[in-house]
Amino acid sequence: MYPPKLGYVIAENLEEATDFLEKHEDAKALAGGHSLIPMLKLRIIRPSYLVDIRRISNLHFISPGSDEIRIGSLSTHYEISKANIPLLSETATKIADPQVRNMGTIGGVISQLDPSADYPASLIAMDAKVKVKGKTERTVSFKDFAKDMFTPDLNPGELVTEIIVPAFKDYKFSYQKLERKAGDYAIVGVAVLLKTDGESIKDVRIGLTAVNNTAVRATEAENMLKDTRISEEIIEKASAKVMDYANPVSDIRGSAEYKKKVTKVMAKRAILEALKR
Amino acid sequence: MKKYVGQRIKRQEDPRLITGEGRYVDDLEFPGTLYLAILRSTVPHAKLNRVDVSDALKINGVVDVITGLKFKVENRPDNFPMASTELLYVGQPIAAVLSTDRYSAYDALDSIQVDYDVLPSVIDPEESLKDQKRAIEGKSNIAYKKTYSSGNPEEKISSSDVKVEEKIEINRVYPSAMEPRGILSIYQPDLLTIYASTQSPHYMRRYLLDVFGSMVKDIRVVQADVGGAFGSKLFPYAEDYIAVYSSLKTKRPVKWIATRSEDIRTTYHGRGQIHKVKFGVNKDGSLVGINDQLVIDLGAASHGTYLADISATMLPGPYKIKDIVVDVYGVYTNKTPLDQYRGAGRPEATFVIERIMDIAADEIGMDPLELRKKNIVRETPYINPFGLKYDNGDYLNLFEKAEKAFRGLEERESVLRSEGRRVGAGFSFYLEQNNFGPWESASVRVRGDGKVIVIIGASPHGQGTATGIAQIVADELGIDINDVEVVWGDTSLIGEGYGTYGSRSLTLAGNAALIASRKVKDKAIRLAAQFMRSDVQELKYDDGKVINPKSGESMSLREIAAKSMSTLGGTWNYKEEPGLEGTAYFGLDNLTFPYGSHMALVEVREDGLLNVLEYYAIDDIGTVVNPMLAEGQVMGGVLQGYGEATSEEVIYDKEGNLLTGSFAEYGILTAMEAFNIKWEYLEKGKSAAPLPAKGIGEGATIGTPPAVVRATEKALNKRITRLPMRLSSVI
Repeated sequence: MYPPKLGYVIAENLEEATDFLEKHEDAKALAGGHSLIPMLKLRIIRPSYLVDIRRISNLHFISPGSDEIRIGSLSTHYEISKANIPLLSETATKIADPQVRNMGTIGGVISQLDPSADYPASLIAMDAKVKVKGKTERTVSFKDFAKDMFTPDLNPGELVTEIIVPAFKDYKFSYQKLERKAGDYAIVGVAVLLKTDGESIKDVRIGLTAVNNTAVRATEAENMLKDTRISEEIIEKASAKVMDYANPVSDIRGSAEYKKKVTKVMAKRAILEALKR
Repeated sequence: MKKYVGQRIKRQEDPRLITGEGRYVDDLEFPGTLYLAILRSTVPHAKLNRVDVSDALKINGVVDVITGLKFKVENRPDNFPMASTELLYVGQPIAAVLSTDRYSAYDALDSIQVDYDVLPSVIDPEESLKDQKRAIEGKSNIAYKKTYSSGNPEEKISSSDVKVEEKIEINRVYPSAMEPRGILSIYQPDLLTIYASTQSPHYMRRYLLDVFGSMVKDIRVVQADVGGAFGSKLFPYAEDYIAVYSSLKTKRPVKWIATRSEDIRTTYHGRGQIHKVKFGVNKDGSLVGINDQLVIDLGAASHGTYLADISATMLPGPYKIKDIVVDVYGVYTNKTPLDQYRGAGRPEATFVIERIMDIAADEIGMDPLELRKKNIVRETPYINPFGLKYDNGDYLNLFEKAEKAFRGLEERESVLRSEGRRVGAGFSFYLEQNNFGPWESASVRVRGDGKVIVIIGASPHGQGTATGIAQIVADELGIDINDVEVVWGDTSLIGEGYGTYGSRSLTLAGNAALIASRKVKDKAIRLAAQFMRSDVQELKYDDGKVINPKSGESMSLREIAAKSMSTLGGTWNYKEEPGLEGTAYFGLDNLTFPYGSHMALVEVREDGLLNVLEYYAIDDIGTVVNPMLAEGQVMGGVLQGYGEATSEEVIYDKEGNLLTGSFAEYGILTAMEAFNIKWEYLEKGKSAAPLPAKGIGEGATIGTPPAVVRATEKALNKRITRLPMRLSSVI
């Protein structure tokens, strides 16, 4: 399809972008464009302007620190995949296809908040924080930021500038995604972070995407694993518990029943893969 | 001497296409072109009251808006090519905007007001068969009814040892050509030149002239490079008529290119059959009777009925069943019209009969291959119960070769199963029917420099047919293949032709080119006789030269061509007509029946997806001109058939809204889901043509689904009677 008529503004800096977006509430920020452009072409959205923020270089960085890693919102999936960030880099490798990974940005993903996006499973498991800037700057937890599907905690004129994740040194991790075919949306995605001491699990975090309106943590399953000796039995039980956190809807990618079933399969796979690291 | 036929010659077509130098319709620019955008129905069924285009006409750039266009075209709805009184499916054209650029054209669509009253829609073909709610107002839903009957199946089934009833569903698929449909119509007084993404320019010319013959003297149709078709670009579409009419009306070039969303809504869907079968099998494995009720989901037009005829008459497949009845019902639904898709009726027939074979074997506890062997046709030619004459070949011989390979797969299957893995081996045997005619044309012309141009009436679009035909002509004329150029796809190049469909081009156009080459050789001898001052009887053509065995004198084809051209402005002092050309038409008096076997070793993963661990196919397709081209056809066909078996499905909701309206939803597979395919061929069943090929364009889309489904069924130990399998509801 062909997009409707719209204005196009190139923002030179963050302030210019947020000022413009505040004045034009129906304008949309353009980063990687991998959700925005298809919606424009299908005429699902009809913004007055696209505000191209891709030249704002101070949103384009990844800076690892000893306790936390700061990720500029314009970082592409490809850049994140190469940045050696526990869990998040692996998650980035599984997003869509190479073309999308070269263009798409993490800020774009969490501002769009598609319920089947990949990052949210990991960001929720990691207790990520989101830095948002408009007239003022604020930092919110990703959990609070992701209010509902397609509904980020962003006021008119605000942009995500940064995502901050704890360093998770010495953690094992895995992100497991089930897709019908390469590049498809996830049927379910499970992110796992684990800290072990010998044969026992000291800490565990499990995030789920695509099976709820927003990503969730499977806390009871986490508690089942925490401070236990690793055994096939406990992994099986915890994986079954993860299933309780999935409330999928039936669609062309499978019935709700199937999606629940494979949530357990993918949870188990993610735990086992994490333990292998 | 055959230097090329039978060799794995690389495709002459490829360098241009794979370096981005292809020229598809949308690559062609013509000054002053208007762009056509089409407003389409967003509802499956409604009474159309009024279309108001006044606001659309005010949009900057818009030159014209056309509504209510109506032509009488066979088997098309009354509301064709546009809806004027009734909306029949999501995607049906309602109005067309002509504008100086595409963006304003699509903008203008937003300004057209359509006033309609929603009518109840008919989506499920079995519901349609009850004929209660109407898909098309004032018409019975049953567009087509025919019974194919032989012997006394009822009696045979009732007296058989085991009786089985099953409902076998083959869902609709979208042909998914990489290039959506498109057309560019260029107006000149008295002549329209059409560039189209088509499988048959000559046929397109004929059907357009049927409607526009009174408005224009001739229509020249040129096939641009075509990015895949799979049957879907053979028959006329509403947009072709709308574009041509627009160009005649405005006297300007008009271009229409489908977006993917438009293509997926309007390009004729394929398959769409439900078979309710009853059959009887005896304990010794003989299949004694079949009763099949075949319902074909035609959508909102009746041009797809022939597909049910093919499925019905091919239902017996390669088996000796005598007592069989197929009741065919073609029903209207409020969906995109149905037409051919790679295999066209034969995959449906084969899926049903191969399911019957496996299910019968399971029911009586017999090995499914043994059961097939018990029933297989052992002598050819063979007339099937509906009168089809299976031409030739040795089915049992191929079967036994295939069986050897399959027993190997079964061994691996049992090893893997003993490790607790959900693995199954599936087998299919298929008989195809191809070389749909009636004939094809070719013209071989030697130029003054000795280069040979071959014009064919077939219109390949990715198959590599030109390479195969260059091999045939180079061998026949005894010249270097690089001196042969095969061209096609332009109604002004050759008088008549048909096109590329039904696995026909290499056999029919190839043999026409062969016969035309022989005419050229005869002519070369007659010219050489003049040049060499010999008697025609003394000369013969051998290895690219005309030689006089007595004198040892010879002239190469190139020398004869050069001598014919030597003096510009001079006189022609020979007693033979100048020119080195031959044109030939070739048809066969029966369709050809290649056959083969496919087998798969499949693992059902815990997450419900499949891994194909091994895949093997063996075909007998007569003489194989280029094994690499044939193997490419098999590989593509296997993957296409695998997609049809596992994930491809056009899905409508109960109201008739299309849920698979883009590639984000429609389950087309990618290269990442591909697997290794091993292929072998036999050349026993040769056709009656001088170059006895048969054709392999569709075989793999026929053989694959039943093999993959059987393998999955065994892995899961659950009977599967649906394409695609919808594993998420089976695991």
